[in-house]
Amino acid sequence: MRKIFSISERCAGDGKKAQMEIIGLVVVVILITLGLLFLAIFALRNDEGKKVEVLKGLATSTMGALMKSSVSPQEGCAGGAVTLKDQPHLGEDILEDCAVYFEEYGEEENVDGYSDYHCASVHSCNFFQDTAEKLLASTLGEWQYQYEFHALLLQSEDCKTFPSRCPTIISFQRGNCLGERESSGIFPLQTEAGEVISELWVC
Amino acid sequence: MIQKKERMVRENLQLFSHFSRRKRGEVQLMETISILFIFFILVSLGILFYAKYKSVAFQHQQDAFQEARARELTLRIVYLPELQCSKSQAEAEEHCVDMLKVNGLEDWKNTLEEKFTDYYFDIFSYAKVTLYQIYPEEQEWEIYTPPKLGFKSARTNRFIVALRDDTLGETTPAYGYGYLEVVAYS
Amino acid sequence: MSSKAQVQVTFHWIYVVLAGAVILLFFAGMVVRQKSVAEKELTSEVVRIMESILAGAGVSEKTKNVIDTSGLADLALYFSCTEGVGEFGILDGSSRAQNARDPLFAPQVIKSPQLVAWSLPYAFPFKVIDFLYVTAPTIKYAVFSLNPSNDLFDDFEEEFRDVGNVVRLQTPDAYASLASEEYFHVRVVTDVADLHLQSVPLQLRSLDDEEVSLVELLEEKAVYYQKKGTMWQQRGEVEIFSLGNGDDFSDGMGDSSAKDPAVFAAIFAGTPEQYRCNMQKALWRLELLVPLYQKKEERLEWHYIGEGESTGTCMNFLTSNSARKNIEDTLTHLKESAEGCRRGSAGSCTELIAVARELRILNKEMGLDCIPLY
Repeated sequence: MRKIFSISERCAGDGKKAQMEIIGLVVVVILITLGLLFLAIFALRNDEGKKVEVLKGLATSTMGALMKSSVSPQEGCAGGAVTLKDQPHLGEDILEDCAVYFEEYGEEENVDGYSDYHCASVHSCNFFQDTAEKLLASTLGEWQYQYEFHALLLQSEDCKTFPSRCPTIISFQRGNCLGERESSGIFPLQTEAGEVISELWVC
Repeated sequence: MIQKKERMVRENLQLFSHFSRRKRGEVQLMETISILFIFFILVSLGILFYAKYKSVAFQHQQDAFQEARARELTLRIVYLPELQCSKSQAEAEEHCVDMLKVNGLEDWKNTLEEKFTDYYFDIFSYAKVTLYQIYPEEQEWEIYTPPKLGFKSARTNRFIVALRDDTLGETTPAYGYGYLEVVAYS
Repeated sequence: MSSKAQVQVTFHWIYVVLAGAVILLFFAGMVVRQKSVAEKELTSEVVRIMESILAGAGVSEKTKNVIDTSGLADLALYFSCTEGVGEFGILDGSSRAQNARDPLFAPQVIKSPQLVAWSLPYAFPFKVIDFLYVTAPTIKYAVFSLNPSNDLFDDFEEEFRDVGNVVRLQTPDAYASLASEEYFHVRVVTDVADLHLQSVPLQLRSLDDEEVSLVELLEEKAVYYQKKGTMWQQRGEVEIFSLGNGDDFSDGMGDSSAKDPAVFAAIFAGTPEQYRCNMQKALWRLELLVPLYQKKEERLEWHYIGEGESTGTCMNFLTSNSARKNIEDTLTHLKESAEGCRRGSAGSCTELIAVARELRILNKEMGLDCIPLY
C-alpha cells in the first residue's frame, strides 16, 4: 500500500515553502526601499541652494578698480596743503595720505586729525574706509559676496618679518571669509611712512 | 465490511487528492501570475525612476553648462578690445573700460549696421551687456542687446571694472568705479 | 506518469532557456546600443569641454595653460581652417566645433596626453584680437639659427622651457644630428634662408613625411616645407602681418624683447592655409575696430576744441590740413587697406603694414604731450 502522508505532515511542508516565499518578498521590498532611499538622497542633494561662485579675477579687478578710482570733485578734497590739478586717486593719494598721517588718526579714529587731503572734511583714513566700504557694499555686498579688506603699514624691519605686528591702517569686512576664498593679491604702495600693503579677499 | 470501508476511504482519499491537486494547480498558477505581475510592475517602476533620474541629471548638466558659458562670456567681454583700455603702445590695461570708446559705441554700431549684428552675435549670442558706473556718479550704458526671442532662463554675472576717461584730469586720466553686467539668456 | 513528468520537465527547461536567452539578448542589445551612444556623447562632450577650455585660454593673455587630455590619449585631435572658419574635433569622429571669430594656430593633428594652450594679444597697431596657439609636449620644435642673439627664438625657448619641447640648435652640426626622440611630430623653425636646400637630417628620414615639417622665417614672410623622402618640398608661403619690434620709431626706441604674435602664429600654424585663414579673422576684426577708433578720435577732437585748443599741437596730430600725416587720415587709410587686403589684394596687404606702422609712430609721438589714440 502506498504510504499516505498525514495531513499535518503535508501542511508542515507547505508552511515551510510559504515562509520561504514570504522571505523572498521581504527581500524584494527591502531592495526597493533602499533604491528609493538613494533616489531621494540624490533628489534632495540637487535641490540644495547653490553657493555663489566667485568669478576668476573678480577680487583682483575689484581691488584694481577701487584703488584707481578718482575721488569725486564734490568731496572737496583740496585743502590748505594741496592744490588739485587732478582729482586724487583713492588707492594712491588718499591711502598714502592716510599712511603718512596715521598717527593723527590713531586707534581712536580721530576724524578731525590732520591729513593733507581733507575730503568730505574728514581724515584721509576715515574717508578711504567710508568710501571703500560704500563701494564694496553697493557691489560685492549687493551680490551676496562676503569679503575682507586689510591695509597694513610696514613701517619697521620687525614688522616686515612679522606682518601681524604691523599697524592695520584700514580694515573692514562683510561676513566671515573663511574657507575657500579668492585673493586680489598684494597691492603695494610706497609712501614716506613705509610700504602699505593692501589685500582684498572675496568668498 | 472492513474491506468496504477501506475501499471507501481509499476512494475518498483519491477523490480528495484529485480535487486538492486541481486546487493546488490553480493556486500555483495564480501565484505565478501574481509574481509575474509584481515583477513587471517592479521593472516598470525601475525604468520610471531611472528615466526621471536621467532627466534630472541631464537638466543639471545643462544648467552647469549654461552657467559655465555665461561665466566664460563675462570674462571674454571684460577682455574685449572694443572696450579695453590700453596704455603705452597697445599694451592692455587689465580690468579697465575705455570711456571714450564706450561713448562712441552707439555711433559706431550705427555706422557698421548689419556688419555689427552679424559679427558680434557670434561673440555675445543671446546676452545683454550693460556697463554701470557707481562712483563718482551713477550712470549706465547699454553695450549690447540680444535679438528678441522667448527665453526660458537668464543667468547674470557681474564683473567690477575701472572706467577710465582720458579727457577728465589734466596730467592723469580719471577713473570711475563700476561694473559690467552680463545677462545670458537660454 | 513518469514520462509525462519527464516531458513536463523538458518543456519547463526549454521554456526557461528560451526566456532567459530572450532576456539576455534584450539586455545585451541595450548594452551595445548604450555603448555607442555613450561613445558619441563622450566625443561631443570632449569637443564641448575643449571649446570651453580653449575659449578661456584665449582670454588669459600671455599665460600658458596645460590641458590634461590623458583620457583622450588614444584619440587624435585635428585642427583646420577653411574660408575663414576654423574647426577642430576628434579625428574620424563626428563631433566638431567651429569658430569663425577667434584665430587658433595649431598643428593639423595632435595626439598627446596633454595640450598646451598659449595666448598672445595681437596689435596692429592697437590691440585687435587674441591669438591662441595650441601645441603639445609630443611635438618637437627645433629652433635653428646661426644668429646667437635672436630674441624671438630666445623668448620661444624660455617660454616653453617647462614643457621641454623646444630645442635650440646653434650650429649646422647640431641641425644635421637632429633626432626625433619619439616625438609625434618634429617642426624645424629657422631664420636661415636656404635651409630647405639641404637634405633632411639623417635621423629624421625614417619618419613619415607628415611627421616632419620646416618653417623658414624670412623678414616679412614665412615659407612652409614638408619632408618628402630626404628633401624638403615647399608647401606655400605667407606674408607675416607684423609691425616688427619698433625699430622704426622716430626716436629709435623699440621693444626688442616683445613676443611677436604674428611670427609665433607662423611657427605654430600647421599649414600656410591655416595661417592665412586665421589672419583673415584678425583682419576682419581690424576692419570693424577702425571705425570705433575713428569715433574715439572725433571725441578727442571735441575735447581739444572744448579746451580752446582747436589749433594746438594735439589737434594737429588728430586732424590738420597741412601736408603732415594725421591720425584721422591714417585711420581712413588703414580701414581701406584692411578691406583690400582681406579681399585678396596683395598690394593692399603691403600698404596695410606700412599704414599701421605710420599710425604707431603718430600715436607714440602724440602720447608724449597729448592724449594718445590708444
